[in-house]
Amino acid sequence: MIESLRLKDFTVFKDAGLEFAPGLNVIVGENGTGKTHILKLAYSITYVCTKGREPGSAPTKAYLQSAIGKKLTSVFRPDELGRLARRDRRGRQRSEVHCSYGPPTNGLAFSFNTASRSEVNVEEAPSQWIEKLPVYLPTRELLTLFPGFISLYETSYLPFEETWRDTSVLLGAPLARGPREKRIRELLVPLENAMDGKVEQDEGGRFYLNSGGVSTEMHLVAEGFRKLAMIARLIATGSLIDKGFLFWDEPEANLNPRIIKLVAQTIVHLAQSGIQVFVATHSLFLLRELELVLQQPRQKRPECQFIGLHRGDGGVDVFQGATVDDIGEITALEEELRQSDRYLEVEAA
Amino acid sequence: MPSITEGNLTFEFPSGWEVSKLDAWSFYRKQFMSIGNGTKAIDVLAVEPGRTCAWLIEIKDYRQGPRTKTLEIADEIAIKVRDSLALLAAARVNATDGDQKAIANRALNVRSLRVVLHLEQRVKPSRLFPREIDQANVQQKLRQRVKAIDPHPMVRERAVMAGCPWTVR
Repeated sequence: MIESLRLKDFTVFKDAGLEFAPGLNVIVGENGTGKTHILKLAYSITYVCTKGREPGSAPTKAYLQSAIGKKLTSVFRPDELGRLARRDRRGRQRSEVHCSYGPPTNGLAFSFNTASRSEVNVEEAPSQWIEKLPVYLPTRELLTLFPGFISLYETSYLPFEETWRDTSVLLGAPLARGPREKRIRELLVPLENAMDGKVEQDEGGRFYLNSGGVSTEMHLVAEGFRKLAMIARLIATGSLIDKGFLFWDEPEANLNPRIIKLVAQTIVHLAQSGIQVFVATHSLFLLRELELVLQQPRQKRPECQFIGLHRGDGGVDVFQGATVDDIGEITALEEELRQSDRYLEVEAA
Repeated sequence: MPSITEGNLTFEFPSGWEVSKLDAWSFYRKQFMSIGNGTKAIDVLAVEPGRTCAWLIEIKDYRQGPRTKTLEIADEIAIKVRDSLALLAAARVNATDGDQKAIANRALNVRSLRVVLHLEQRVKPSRLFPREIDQANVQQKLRQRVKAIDPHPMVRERAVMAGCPWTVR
């Protein structure tokens, strides 16, 4: 698991230490406070440290210095790597990142500066590869881009974040078989009930939603269901089963409240099943749904960490703890209260 | 059964409870209120028998129209609760009224402290604002503010009294 992330002069963060729980991690903040940056950074470095990238029992510093630089550039899409270093008035700045995976993988530390073009300096390399490829869910669903997107991405320059490509590859993986099937069914059933159908793939790789024997092209399925279908597919292929990492940026995007309710259940179920989940959100509705699911009796509550990001003097400040009350002001809540005040004023006039 | 009336609302507590209008205490009015730049007190102190729990209850009746901004309700109550606990600590030692001294002593000799905002509102159905003041919002804000005193403060009204052992008419 990812235990912590320490950032110095990385994008909007001047000096930030983030602690993570093995279960569910919820990052809350206004636009521009770096929620997505945290997800992308943790995803990128975990991705390059995953088994199978290179031979050997652990990633070497030589491999990491170019692999991290390349992955960060492809995922964040800056003009050059150095643009990810936080700039102040002096111009040149050194960015430092330390990620702790805990034993036996241990830590990864690297740095780069505003002049870095494509490589980072690796100060500490993990002691072994990470077993399972992390999963990144962007705000948009990707099933409708499949299967053409991957080959297009590989063969031509597309200004899309590489997370889209990575996740598309996982969506195309074959269905998992064997002893994991029972657990997969347990996670899939509520999703299939909500979508009123199962996700299927034809020989050409296109995805369909099969409802009572009638197949509908994914393009014709409501966007909210497509996001559920994407999660369902990643569970069915074994990417989100047992150990692993899920980074989900604004799960609430394009969803109506009824589906957000289900998404909250799915998020908690995944965390309960051993996936380390990272969610970035500004939805008060989703936060409350998560809390309601977490408070349900007779179920194993996953360990949780809530992280609030706030614009402070010269950088983003981090408030964090085991409950949603530990993250400082929640902008969405403040705005709801203000809206209530405005309504009362209008009414009184 | 002990009861307390505040405006148009009457609170009836189970027998054996000790209840008191805290902001009407002579110790508060004459001695404590002016401390610092002035202190506030919550409306009702209710102490369960058996040293179990002391309830600090603030009553807001907005049926005639709201007077406070919702954004400030939680802050206002947090200050009242904080000041009330200080008031009890001082009254337990210094109150000249024997009853006030005794109930302050019992209120501080409990296993838990609970904070409740009793909030009545106008019934004025609006499509987008079915409640003028959303109780869940206020409760969540209040929880941020008084967590160290009561991690689960409640916002209640006559129609929804879950978790409150008393009744309100």
